[in-house]
Amino acid sequence: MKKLVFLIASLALALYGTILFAGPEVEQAAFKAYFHNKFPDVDKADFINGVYALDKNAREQWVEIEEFPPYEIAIDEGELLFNNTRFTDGKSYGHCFGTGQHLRKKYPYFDEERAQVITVELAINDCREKHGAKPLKYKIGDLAKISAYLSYHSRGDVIDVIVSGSAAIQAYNKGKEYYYTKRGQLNFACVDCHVSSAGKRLRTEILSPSLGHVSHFPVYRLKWGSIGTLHRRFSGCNSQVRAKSQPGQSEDYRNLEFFLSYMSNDLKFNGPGVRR
Amino acid sequence: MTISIFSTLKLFIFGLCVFALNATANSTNPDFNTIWLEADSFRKEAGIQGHEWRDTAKILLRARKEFKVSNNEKAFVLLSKARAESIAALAQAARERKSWERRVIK
Repeated sequence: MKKLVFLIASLALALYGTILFAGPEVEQAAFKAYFHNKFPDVDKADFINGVYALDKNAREQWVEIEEFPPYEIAIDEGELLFNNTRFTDGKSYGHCFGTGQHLRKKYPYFDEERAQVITVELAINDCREKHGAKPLKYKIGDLAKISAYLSYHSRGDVIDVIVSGSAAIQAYNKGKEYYYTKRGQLNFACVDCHVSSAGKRLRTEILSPSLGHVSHFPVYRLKWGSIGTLHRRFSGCNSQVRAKSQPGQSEDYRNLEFFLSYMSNDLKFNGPGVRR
Repeated sequence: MTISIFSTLKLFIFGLCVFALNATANSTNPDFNTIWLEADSFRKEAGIQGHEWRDTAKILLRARKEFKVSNNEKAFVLLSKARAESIAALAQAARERKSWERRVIK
């Protein structure tokens, strides 16, 4: 009898532990299952198209915009910047990134030596600084254009973020905490809009699902009238809930990108995108 | 005639006192400065905890500006708002430390 009680107690404890301290893999499966169950008619691979996977009318308009995509100029300018920039030491971006093809799938990753998440935008500025150039602005402008060029040449590649090792798991957990934490005067967390309210209307706009969010950045937003990075969007979300936004590539935003990218593993990159 | 000179002198001295008191009050009003510094320290603490609200710092600056031009009533209204925001942001930070995990999709 004592053995049976001990066995049941052990099993209950193990189950509780699994639920309470579920690792990234379990959480990723639950995250994906939530969206697949919430939107059973949406093809799993179509989540990379965000709100356009959910709403037929919005999709029709988006498809028309994509015929002459407004981000095309940014790709061209990004290509010129990537290929023609010569740093003071005579080196170019090619010395850091090779041809720039299929580059985005390597990011974000956790750098054990530096003990931090490295994103593609951070790597671009790291490259510049390494070769004696000034860093670019993280949310807009030339850096977003180079990022758009790199994204374009990574289209179709699969998101494959690895969370391995205690330091990486810690960064993942920090990103997770940021995602689920309410902040700002309006007391909203990312999850409030992009999970529980995904597919619902907020004024004139339909809220997009978090699954696949990272696949299409940088984006040309019609509201911005220019191309912007993922961290520009994070910053905008913070501001919209009246929380103080953070600078691009802050540790919090990189951890958040790391977490969100891991949640979207196995989906394909389709950036740059266009959004309203 | 004598009375009239004394009255004018009294009035002048009284005027000087009022001016001096007013000037002192505007530059070093202990209540305003103390409350402002307190509200700003709450704001900074909320920022350290990642919970500073968007407009608190701007409201504090506006309060300071209004106070400098002796628009004390408006200055105190703004200061009170900024203080309330900072305290609410700190409360939010404390609450979220305990409650964010409940929202994780499992």
